[in-house]
Amino acid sequence: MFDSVRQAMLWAHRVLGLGFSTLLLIAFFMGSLALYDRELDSWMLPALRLAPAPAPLSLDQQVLPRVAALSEGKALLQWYVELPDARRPLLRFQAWSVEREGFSRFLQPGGDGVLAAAGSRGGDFFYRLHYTLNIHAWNLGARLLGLAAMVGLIALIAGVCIHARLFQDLFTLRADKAPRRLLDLHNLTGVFALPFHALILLSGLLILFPLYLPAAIDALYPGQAGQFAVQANAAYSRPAAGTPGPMASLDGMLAQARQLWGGGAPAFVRVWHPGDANAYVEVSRSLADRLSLDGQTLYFDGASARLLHESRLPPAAATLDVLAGLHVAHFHQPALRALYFFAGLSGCVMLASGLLYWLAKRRLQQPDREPGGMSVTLLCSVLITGMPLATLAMLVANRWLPLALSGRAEWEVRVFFAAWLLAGLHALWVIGRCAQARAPWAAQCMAISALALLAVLSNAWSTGDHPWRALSQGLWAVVGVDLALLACALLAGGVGWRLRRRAAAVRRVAEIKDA
Amino acid sequence: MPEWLASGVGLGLQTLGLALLALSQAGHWRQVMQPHAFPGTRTLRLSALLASGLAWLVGQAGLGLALGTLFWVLALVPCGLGVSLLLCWRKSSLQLLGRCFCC
Repeated sequence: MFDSVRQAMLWAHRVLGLGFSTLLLIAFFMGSLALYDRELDSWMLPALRLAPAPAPLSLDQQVLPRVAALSEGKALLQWYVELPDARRPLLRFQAWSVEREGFSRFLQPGGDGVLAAAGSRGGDFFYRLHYTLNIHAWNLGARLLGLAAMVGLIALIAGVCIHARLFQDLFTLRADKAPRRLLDLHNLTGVFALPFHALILLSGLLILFPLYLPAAIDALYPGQAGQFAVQANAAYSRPAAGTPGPMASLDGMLAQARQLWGGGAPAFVRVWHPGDANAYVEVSRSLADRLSLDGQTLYFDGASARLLHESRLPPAAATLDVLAGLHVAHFHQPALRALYFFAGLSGCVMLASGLLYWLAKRRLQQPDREPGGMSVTLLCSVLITGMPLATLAMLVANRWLPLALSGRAEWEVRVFFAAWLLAGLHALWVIGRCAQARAPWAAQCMAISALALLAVLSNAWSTGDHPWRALSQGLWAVVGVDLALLACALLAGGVGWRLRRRAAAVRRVAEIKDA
Repeated sequence: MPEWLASGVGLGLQTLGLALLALSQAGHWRQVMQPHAFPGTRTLRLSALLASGLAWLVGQAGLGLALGTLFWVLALVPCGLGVSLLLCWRKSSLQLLGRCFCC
């Protein structure tokens, strides 16, 4: 079938790449957005826009007395708070009642206010779309993405094997040669970000391995998958005694934790069986300056604040936590996060340029309109310009939908998918009408530019937080999202304008030839 | 060293290292420094290694061992693409660098 191994690898790279680029492109784009989920929360939920509070936080004074009110007086199984940090200067309170009813509130640190954060799913929508595709039945979305990650790894290895001039062409970009420039761009983004792509695909698979490979866990822990998680995390638990008991100072436990971590900051506090004599408190370390997801969790007795257990992960779990930490990027260093975002986008460029190169080569071989080429053109358009269009339409809808609208968060999601569908239909209509079956790149780039600009203006109009004012108030998340939107508007507008000018020039030449 | 300073210097040094690595390829040298003879790969690649190694050390100083190394690896993407764009559209900006290695 193949004359050489290289030919077989080329075939595998082409077929696997073409077949799974759609899923990988969605995962890379949404993953890049999810990297800034808290900043998007702040932009999409203006109630959460707070400048960092300088006053020290006291859980004993600001949270403990309010737990009953925040959970509507229900008997609780557990409650926890995520402490404020540089990326979100808010306290996030969550509680579960004994009847498994959940309560979620955002609290203002240093004050008594409960922030009314509702009406939008914020950055969490992009984060969940990144690994579930919004398909929850039988975890189908996550399973499909797992398959895509596995195939992506194979395609990556095949890509390296077929790239004969890997070092010689390391910096080569022949921008004036079409379609060679697309292959150069594919190679450049693929090779420079190769460690990132390999790491992200592999760690993405490993994070969800209990879903993809449940057999080993089922065999070792039959019917007790939860026990596996407890052992892997070296966690501690004890049942409620059923008799009431006091609660020692949480601030004291946090001080003890800081001492045990050698100055490390706490980020998460959970109280199990609150009000019970067997209550215990779980305190985890901040991941702001660490790669690993290991929170070095400490467990304290609720009544006496005595240290009960210090979780020390077994080596395999510790390794997995480092790999998972590299995937989810919970560290706070702004420059490092920006590089992660850039590497994620370079993954999108690699996949998009690969698809476009395949399409351009096919056009050279089969210049006539044919279904295969037309359907890949449509797919490219839906992914490359349709997905950003849908995202921007969602951001604009977030600022325009009335606050009193019932199910407002669901309406935002509907707008996202409707805009994506519309972009696809528009592409289909244009491809069907065009003699060369070209996608509406210029028009959709212009639409992206207009929507990005409209999102910034809508935010300024509806909240008053235009970039300059947000900057003066220390709302860095809002400034960052606005500036990213303006950059996107500028870039897409520039590309759209150039494409339109080029298309007009081609039309003029054709008219002259006809004449 | 403050984080913002370490990040900026690290990115600059990584770009310098990759630009020298690009010039160490005879094709790119000819493209940028046309009348000047190619000085050979050794000096250029050693300088590239030095600049890139310094970028790694600066990353360590600002972000620590693990995050600094991650920063160095990820900086390859924008710096490498930046050098490719310079080679494509702004060759003159690399000529100054190349002149330091002319015989």
